Amino acid sequence: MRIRPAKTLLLGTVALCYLFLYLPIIHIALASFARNYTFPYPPKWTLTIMGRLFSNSLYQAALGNSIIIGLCAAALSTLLAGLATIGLLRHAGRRAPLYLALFVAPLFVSEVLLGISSLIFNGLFLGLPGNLGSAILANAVHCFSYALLIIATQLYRYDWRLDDAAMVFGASPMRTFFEVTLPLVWPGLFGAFIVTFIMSFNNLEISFYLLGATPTLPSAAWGALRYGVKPELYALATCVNLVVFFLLAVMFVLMLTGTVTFGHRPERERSAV
Amino acid sequence: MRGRFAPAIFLGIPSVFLVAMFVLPLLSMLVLSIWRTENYHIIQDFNLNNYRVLATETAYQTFLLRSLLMATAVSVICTVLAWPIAYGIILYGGRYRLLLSLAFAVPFLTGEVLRIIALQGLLGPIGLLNGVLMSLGAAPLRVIMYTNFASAIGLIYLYLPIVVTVIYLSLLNFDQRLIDAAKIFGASPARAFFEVTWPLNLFGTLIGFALCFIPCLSATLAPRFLGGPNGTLFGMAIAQQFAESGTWALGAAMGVVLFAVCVLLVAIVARLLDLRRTGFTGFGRG
Amino acid sequence: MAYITLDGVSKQYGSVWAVDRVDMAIDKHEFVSLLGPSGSGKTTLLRIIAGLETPTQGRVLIDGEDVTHLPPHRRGVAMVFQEFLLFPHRTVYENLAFPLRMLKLQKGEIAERVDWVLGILALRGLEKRYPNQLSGGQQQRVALGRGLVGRPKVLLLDEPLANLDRELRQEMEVEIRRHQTALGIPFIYVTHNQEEALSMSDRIAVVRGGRVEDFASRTDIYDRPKTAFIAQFVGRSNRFEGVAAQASDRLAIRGEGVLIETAARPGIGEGDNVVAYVKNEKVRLKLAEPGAAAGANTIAARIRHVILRGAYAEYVLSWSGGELIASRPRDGAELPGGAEVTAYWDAADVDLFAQAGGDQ
Repeated sequence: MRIRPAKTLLLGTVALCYLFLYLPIIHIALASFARNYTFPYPPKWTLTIMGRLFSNSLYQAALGNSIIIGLCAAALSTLLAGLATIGLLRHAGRRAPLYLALFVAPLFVSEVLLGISSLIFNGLFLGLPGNLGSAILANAVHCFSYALLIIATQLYRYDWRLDDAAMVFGASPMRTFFEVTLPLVWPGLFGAFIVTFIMSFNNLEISFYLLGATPTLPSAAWGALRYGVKPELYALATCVNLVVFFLLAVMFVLMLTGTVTFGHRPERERSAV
Repeated sequence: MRGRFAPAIFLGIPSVFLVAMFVLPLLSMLVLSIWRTENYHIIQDFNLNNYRVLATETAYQTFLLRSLLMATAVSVICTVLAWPIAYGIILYGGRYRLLLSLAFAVPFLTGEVLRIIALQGLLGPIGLLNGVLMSLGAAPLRVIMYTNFASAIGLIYLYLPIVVTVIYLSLLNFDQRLIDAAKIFGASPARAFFEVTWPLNLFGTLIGFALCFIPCLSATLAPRFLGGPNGTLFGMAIAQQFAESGTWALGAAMGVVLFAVCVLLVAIVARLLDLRRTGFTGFGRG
Repeated sequence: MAYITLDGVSKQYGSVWAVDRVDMAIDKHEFVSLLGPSGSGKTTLLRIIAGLETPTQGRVLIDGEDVTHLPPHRRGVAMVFQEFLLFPHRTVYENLAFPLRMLKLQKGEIAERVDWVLGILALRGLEKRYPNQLSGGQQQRVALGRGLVGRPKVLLLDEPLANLDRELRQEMEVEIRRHQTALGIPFIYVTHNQEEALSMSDRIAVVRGGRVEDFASRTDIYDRPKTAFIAQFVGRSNRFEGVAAQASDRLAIRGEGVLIETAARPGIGEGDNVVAYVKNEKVRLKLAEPGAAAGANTIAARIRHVILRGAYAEYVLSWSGGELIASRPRDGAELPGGAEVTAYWDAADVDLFAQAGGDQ
């Protein structure tokens, strides 16, 4: 086997970047379970930091709010994005580029702009005080575009003639949807729901402006971070990381078994050896 | 679900939602920027005072310029790093491709605040880097933390995953056999890259670049917690108008400027880019 | 001396030999087909000649030069792909100019040569189109043009007609062969379609399981198949199994309900299990005469139905041993469906092979 410098260089970059991304995550994970949390090498294991985190009532309330925002925004954006994707692929016709431009526009507007513009609209023009509902709606805007892209990658290869086939054999439109369309598109919806849940759960900049005094997990962490890094923050970040890991592991298994694709293609078979 | 009502349901509902929750707020920001606020109430008198302030106070120009520089630098670095990573995973990932690409999504999804906390754990005064230095008997490093350099590292850390993911997806859907075709017809590997691979993935690369550049331009967290006293960026200054000083109308004007810069950049790129030249074949798929 | 030589070429993927000790010598003006079922290794063999794969063992020589370890862009070969693989971001003109730009030709010469190719392939007027604005047939022509424009040492064609419909395919077969004759360079053509191979090639290599079963002229391949596989794969045949019995200089094969007689072959003797093939068009028919004794190489059958193929007709017959197909030109003397007939053939038209254990 020849030594290939290009290969070594590429793989070296990949390895370094993974190290860069995961070193901090692993470091704080160790730190949040160690008594010597500033430099846990080797760690002296303890659960006191985790204990302090879980007994803090501020974080408990914040967690509840974040979960509500996450679930509602994810459900709303997944539903709307599902409608929009089907609309784009089936009903838009020549106006598809126009609709697509509107639907992905939120990707190109930063979160802070979304946050402040929604704040101005709600607070000044509608006279609404900060509330969970506004935060959910604003988060759903941001999540909508991501959900649209995820569902689109799954639906793009869906053969719409299957719908026609089902209807030719006498299924009503409703029945067709539940028996033919939904089973084929649910992986996309599911993936979009997971990703948008995580995104809105972790969002700071949109929620922050629309919630007033209501804390969320990111805003509580942000508040605490202003007074310097505490080991509880390490513990909090580690907990959320673990949850994200778990959810993505679920998606990984689903993608591995081929239930969902999201544009991922299994390695092309060597064509006609 | 065909019929006359289908388009209204499938396209109408999401469109109404976006107009109400996305377009109207942006418009209200525009309107507010030419009014003014007093004690959190709108005073409706048309004036361009906010824009005058932005145009005359050099501080804001500095913030904007610094933001543009920072966003450009970070996006270029991210793109330059993301290409070999995505290409490496495609070429040599084999059956671990999926795992490797999803592994990039984990940091992206954990949220900005938590990632800033993780970075503090790496670079901060009591972080890993200084911990290693001190345990080796060296003096803790103070030059990295709370500088523009630290902000840049933070932003790269925040946005590298999305750039890698976008370029990876672009490469994944790129037909590698076109490279074979180029080589057969006499192109060296490097030539094949610039004749075929690069132009056909330029669109994806630009999307990745934009999805890094735009949030970087309006970054608020990284400069605040990682940057130094000379590190104020435009997004952070906007946030201050709303949080601390309560000058919402000025903040709105700054928001409009930020939005205009983004739109302008997207428009310029869209104008320079001939989609056909990137192998784009149109949307329609009945 | 041969223009292209494959010398013991083998390619191993994991534990599988996709190409197994292939020797071939191809002349400068030859049109050669690699014919085989999918997965037989013919495409891998082509990719080895192209330089897209490196052989595990063996050598590849083009025009006297050992190119085994030369990358594809230094080999001076060209290729037409099954999926065309035109550059989607380039116009027809730019696609055709690509090989010439890689050869670093002058602008004027490039324009001249592209124009020549546009002319011979009837592509004028499409220069400014992008590949996705072309029909399948037009894309195919551009792909072929891109292969010819650089005047390569050899043109490799990987099932180039597989994605075209039948009529277009027959048109292109004629055209491809015409260009090969005009240019005087070897074409190596991979296909699983025997009709394509037979209509265009000088010589055909039948590939199976990574090995070349036979490499011979197309008439030899068709008329004198060297192995049972070739007899089965090339042409349409009726197959009979039986046991051989020696009868002076002839062999008698007793199958189920049929007696086949043919000339003796070396290697086949008394009591061997054999398999015999008779091509459809070699089976002749006549209306049954009552009382005629059934002799060797004849079968009493009934016409089940008739398939019209245009110039000829296929008669699907049933007999005691199952089904038999005879095809014959439509010369006006057509036999009616349901008729009782006698099917017969010449002893010389029987292809006979020993049945290897488990080989089928």
